Amino acid sequence: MEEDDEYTENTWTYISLCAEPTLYEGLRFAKDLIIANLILRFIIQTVSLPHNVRHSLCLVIGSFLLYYSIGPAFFWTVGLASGSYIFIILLSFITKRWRGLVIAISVISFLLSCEVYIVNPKMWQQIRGIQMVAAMKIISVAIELDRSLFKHMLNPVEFGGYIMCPANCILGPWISFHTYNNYLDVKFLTRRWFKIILINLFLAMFFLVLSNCIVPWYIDDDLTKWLVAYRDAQAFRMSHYFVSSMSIVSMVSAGFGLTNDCHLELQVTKPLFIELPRSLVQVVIYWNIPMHQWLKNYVFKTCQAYGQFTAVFVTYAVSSLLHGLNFQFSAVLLSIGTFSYVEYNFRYKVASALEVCCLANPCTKQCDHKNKKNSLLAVFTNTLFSFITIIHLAYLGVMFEASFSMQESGYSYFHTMSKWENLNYFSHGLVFFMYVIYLMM
Amino acid sequence: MKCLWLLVITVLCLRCEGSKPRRGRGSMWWGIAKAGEPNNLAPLSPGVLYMDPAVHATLRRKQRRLARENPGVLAAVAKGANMAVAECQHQFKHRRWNCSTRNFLRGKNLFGKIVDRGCRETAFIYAITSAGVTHAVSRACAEGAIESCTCDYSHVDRAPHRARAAAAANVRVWKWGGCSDNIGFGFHFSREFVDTGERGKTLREKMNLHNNEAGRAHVQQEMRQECKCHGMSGSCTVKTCWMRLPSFRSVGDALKDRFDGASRVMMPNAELEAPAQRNDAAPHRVPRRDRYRFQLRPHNPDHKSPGLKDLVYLESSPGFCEKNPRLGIPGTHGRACNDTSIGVDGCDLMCCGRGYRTETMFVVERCNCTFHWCCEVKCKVCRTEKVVHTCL
Repeated sequence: MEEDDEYTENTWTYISLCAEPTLYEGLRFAKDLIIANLILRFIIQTVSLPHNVRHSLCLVIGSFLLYYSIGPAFFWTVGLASGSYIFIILLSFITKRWRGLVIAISVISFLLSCEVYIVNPKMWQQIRGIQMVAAMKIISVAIELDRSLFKHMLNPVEFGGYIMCPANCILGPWISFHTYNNYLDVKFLTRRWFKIILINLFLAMFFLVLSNCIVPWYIDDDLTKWLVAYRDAQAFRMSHYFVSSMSIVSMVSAGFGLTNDCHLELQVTKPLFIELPRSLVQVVIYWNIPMHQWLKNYVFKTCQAYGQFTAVFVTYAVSSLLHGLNFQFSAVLLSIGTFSYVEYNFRYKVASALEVCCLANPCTKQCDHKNKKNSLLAVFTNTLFSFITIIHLAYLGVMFEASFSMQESGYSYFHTMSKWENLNYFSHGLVFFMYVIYLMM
Repeated sequence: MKCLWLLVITVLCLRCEGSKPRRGRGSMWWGIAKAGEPNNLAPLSPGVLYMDPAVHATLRRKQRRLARENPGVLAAVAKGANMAVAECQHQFKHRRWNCSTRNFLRGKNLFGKIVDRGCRETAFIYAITSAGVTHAVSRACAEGAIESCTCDYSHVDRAPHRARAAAAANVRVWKWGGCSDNIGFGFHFSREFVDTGERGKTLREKMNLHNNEAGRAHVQQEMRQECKCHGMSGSCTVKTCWMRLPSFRSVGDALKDRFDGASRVMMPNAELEAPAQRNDAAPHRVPRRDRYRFQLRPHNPDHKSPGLKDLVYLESSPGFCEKNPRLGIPGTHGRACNDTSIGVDGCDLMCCGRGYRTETMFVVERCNCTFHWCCEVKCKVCRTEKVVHTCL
């Protein structure tokens, strides 16, 4: 009895000692984002401004916000944006077809050389996300120019405003230039707007506390290594949900991502579909929906002409290169690629062999298998596949649990391998096994 | 408020005039653990606790000054002392010496005359109490219960001990925050408060200082700032930090291990030898920093010299079997023991071969408890037969 009391007290102390500073720092970060974006929205909303002034307002406020939150590293982003703009202009004199490809290659190689030679690792880890969003925006503009989706070449203010927009320059999500341009119009804002901001802010803080304090605590360190791996991976996923919810907060407070009747139309991630996954394919889609759309639209579709396999391969390569020249990210992304490829095909065969609705993606309307999705067999196989996916997620996500100094300055090759070795390369083995069965079926 | 202070100071003066330098030097403050007890003056009301003359009788002048300069700290110290006593009694409940405390009276030491001897038990008492204060003050600090170390974030950046952390990280970029940085306060406060009076001149004072430091080191070892990065795909755009305090039970367990392996020491040949790998966090705030710079020599030259976290003692422990009023030992007469155990809690060892009495008792206790949603626990009352062994 006495022991129990002490236990609850310690737990409560632990949680409060962790949650309080965590919330404080989370909210302080949110404050800067929200204030910058609210200022932008209020000016757009109250003063009627010409097109270019609006973009330059976006540029100025975004630059201030970025400089305030990352300091001198800000100039790397400015350099990337202005350099690539000048390059696009110069390229336009030479070619009208290959701008996308050339810009994509040069932007990615700039990012890689930054990572490897120029910027120190700590600073790079800090600005990597920001540079990634900027790179995605630049590449999308270049490709859309090739597809002649613009009536005229963007002027520097439009381009700068798009890259530096305070709504999504720090945490993303990526949006296309046209969406950005539409969102800059005057909106009909109601009380619901505040409600959406507050709900998402609450969600973000909830995920932040889960990631920092609750998830690492609820499974003990000396339980089986798979439970610990699951816990560590989950803490990482929670951190991702925090970032995603925070990015919605920043978008919505700038009045972005809303429909005309003030409903949220933007979705970055779907925590429920990832925590209780149907398949790895679905996890890849719902992990970061805007990024998925970007890859699909600008990489996959561009390469589709060269065959399905090339397209898939190039998509994974680009996505991995955008994350930088880091063994860990390449290994994780490549593994996800192969795992989901094998899973997709294996499930296709199982579905046709057993005549069950258990494809990687749920049947959209009427599935033509004998056992419908509510039949016992279908529920059973789908649960089994979900379970395997959860194991894969634990196996892949455990990487991101690391000492703070490593989180701060980047993951090493040995870190990745030791984590996987600890789990006996189980998932890789399992996938190989599934592939062999798939070949035999 | 002014009047209150005046009154306090008057009471203090009256108290200190009469008192002579006492035995045990700085260790009298342990009495604070029991000070609030009779009329249940909870540590939640620091003002009342402060007024309690019994408390002030236990404190030295410097300790009173510290309490005055840091409003709210006294409650934390009292809590720490209580925690230490409870933990000590938990750790030693199955041993001949069970860390019993005396009825608190002015001028008597809380743990009795055993602290006059420089034995292992004394070493443990010093270490656990110093650890208790460090733990409780750090926690009160993080919770904002001590006014002089609040979570007032606007001043945090100017605090001197943050300068190093800030220099390591990029100040402009990372704004460290949270109450997490107040970890150091507990450590420094404990040094100032607990070590008052231990000037480190005599061997016994060196032993006390070493054990106090050991207690603090055990808390500090597990007390750390943890940080985590958040950002797009594992980058580090947002950084959050918080404080992690070990449970006091784990500190008690660790100290008990050190108790079992404590080293017997003697005076070193040369005074003030090269400093050991001591924790010299912010030494500029400790006026007599040199008092922590000493290395004790093991009694047996073949043993290695005690480390920072080891407990040290000077003389072997007295037998705790028989009542010894001169050392304040109550003896093990009437202690409960376990007839099946062959360890120290077994009847053979506990009763020192005097034999034991076995009684069968009926105990009324709650049993078959069930949890009802939500939130109620319902129990039945059972009469169970229990066999109790007590030493003769």
